[in-house]
Amino acid sequence: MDKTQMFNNGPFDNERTQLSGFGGDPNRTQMATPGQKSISMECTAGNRYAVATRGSREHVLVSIRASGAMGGARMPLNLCLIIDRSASMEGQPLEYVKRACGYVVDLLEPNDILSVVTFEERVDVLMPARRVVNKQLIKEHINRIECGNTTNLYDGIAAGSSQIASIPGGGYVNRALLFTDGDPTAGIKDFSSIVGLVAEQKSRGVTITSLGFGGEYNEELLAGIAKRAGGNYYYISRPELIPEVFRKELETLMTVVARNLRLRVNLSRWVQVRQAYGKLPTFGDKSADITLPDVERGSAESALLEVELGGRPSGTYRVSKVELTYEDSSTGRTETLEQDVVIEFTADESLVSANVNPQVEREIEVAMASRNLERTVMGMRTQQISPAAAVGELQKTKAMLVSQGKVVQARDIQQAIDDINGGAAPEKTLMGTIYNLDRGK
Amino acid sequence: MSVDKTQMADFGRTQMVSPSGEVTQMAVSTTCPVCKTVSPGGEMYCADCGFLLSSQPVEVAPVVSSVVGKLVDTSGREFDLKPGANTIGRQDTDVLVAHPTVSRSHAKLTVTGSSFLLEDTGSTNGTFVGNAKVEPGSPVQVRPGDEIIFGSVMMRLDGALPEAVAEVVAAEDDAALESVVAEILIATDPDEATDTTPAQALSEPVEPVEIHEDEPTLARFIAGDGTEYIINPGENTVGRRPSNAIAVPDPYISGSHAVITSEEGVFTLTDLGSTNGTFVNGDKLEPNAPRELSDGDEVMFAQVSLRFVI
Repeated sequence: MDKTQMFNNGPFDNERTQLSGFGGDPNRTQMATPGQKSISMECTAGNRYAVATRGSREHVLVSIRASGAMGGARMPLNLCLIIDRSASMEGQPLEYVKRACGYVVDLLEPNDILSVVTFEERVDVLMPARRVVNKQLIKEHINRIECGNTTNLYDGIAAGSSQIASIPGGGYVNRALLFTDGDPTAGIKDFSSIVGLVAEQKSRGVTITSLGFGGEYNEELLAGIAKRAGGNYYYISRPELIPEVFRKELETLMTVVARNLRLRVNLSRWVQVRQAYGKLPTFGDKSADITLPDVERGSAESALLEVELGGRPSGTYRVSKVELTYEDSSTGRTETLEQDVVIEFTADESLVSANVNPQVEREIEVAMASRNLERTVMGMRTQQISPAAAVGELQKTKAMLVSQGKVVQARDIQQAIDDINGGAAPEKTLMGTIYNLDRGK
Repeated sequence: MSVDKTQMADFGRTQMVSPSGEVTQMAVSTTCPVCKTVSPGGEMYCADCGFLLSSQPVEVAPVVSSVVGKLVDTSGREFDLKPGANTIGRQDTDVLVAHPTVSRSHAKLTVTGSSFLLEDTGSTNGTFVGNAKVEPGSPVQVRPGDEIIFGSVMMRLDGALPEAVAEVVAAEDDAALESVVAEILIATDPDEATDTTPAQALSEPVEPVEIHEDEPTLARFIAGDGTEYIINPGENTVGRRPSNAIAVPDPYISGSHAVITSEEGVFTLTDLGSTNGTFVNGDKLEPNAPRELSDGDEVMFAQVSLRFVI
């Protein structure tokens, strides 16, 4: 099913919790349409009714959609290329990376800012953050990159982030492109320290996209970095694909319409968030905060939360007030969208069973498929399930996704099945599939 | 279809003031008919319970709360406990803890009338009450105020101290009760501590536990900001990880940094080979070489300075 069909802007829809009664009340002065915002948000409860006086669990779907319209001029980029030049990059891979960096330089404009950091055991700032004026000179520097020894990923990320941070003020779309082909082997190597660093950089407005090349890198780490840093995750299987992926990421980046998205879910006293599928919420006093990836023009993403509802007497209640703050990439202004999620508690159980929201139900199915996939990948990584069993699990998950219209992801899974049957390891592809499913792509 | 607040809909809402553009809308505060919380004027929903303020509750029959206790993590996030068995784990459990060190099915906390029974259900990283490991299949009694560790996630059990348990504790182990009370006092806000929990409201009134200020206090570390870390008898591990008895979340402190042992009034501090070192009054400790502490010593774990007080 085409994604755009999921959003129903039509008149009253019985299936849906109606939160805003547009065109309803004749006594009320209708407000003029507010200034066009680059993204919109819709929050939907899994059911507009709940059984009164009884505790229950419910889901809340937050859908975010960016309009496909061209905004004004694009905001300039503040981009850092963080390039692995460990010994294993020797030969073709490094040559393709240089070519890819060259493409990036060609695509940038003079008001964009670029920095280039390389890492092996040591970290070098090949080019400090500055405007892309003399493209030829920049490319010459890039062409001088040579391979070293080990992989000090942590310090590479730290150095790249500080290059981005060295440009003061807003007005730029910040992004680091982290390219690596291996596990960290020097410096700080543990998963939690590295993703902790990345999360800290994200809180300062630095988004990181991770690009994993070849069969040796740690897909769990790179997907974890992208997840916490709000960027994208790519698996590049062959060296000749490197330039294409860089180009794709850069084009995506140039269409970012909203960045630094932060969802705050304010909860009424008797409500608790149990989980946000595939997300890492931080919990406050009667609230949960979720960081969401940057949004590109014409794209959609979502967050699905499971909430625990305490018993309520009959009546209409706000379960949650959802606030989304983000920075509009064309104006640089911070915008806020908010919406209430309302549920009516009733003694009439038939109302509850008749009003399950099919859209939310579909998203729950997708979240389940993603969890199944995660379990299969972990099972394969730890060799707890056989390739044959993995294929069986993947077939099931694929069927679930096909029935929910997730065609692209279903195709990825078929590719993974083919990989297993051909004796190859599919975890790197599947990690990307999980990541995209969890983003609501 | 997200909208500005100004455009928020009137979901069957009675207009409080005639909708004339000439009249400034009055802001009249509203008392929620369900929970009696006063919300500022202009709010559509009760600020506390979310009730649609313009509607009338169909019935005001009290909702029987089934919450008999809570697990509270270090961030203050609360997980309700219901009567009977509460499963704890990372997937499809009553208490859902999304942490990599927590097993999918990790533990079970059974609440019956007057007691909390904790059982490990075969977790990978174990369940601990204080420093004691809960062996799978051997349930142990836990009490409100106890700190329970699932994998590396620490939670405090909150709830009424049921009368029967209080008596048993008093008879059995005065010292244990004191430490429980001390932990409650440290862990909770004084206002919160006097709050009546739902369980108390439902059960027989509980005799308040008396706290004498002149009771001897335990040895402790005091940080510059007033944070106190109690040193219990026996071994107290110090480190960045939450599983330490004294967990100090500073990035320069090693995950397992040092250990302080309290034995018959003698306190010894041992560095466990930490990256950034342990210092007593400015002297760096050699790793694994115990050093006796005296009252008032200045102890530094990496860059964190604490005063040792007996």
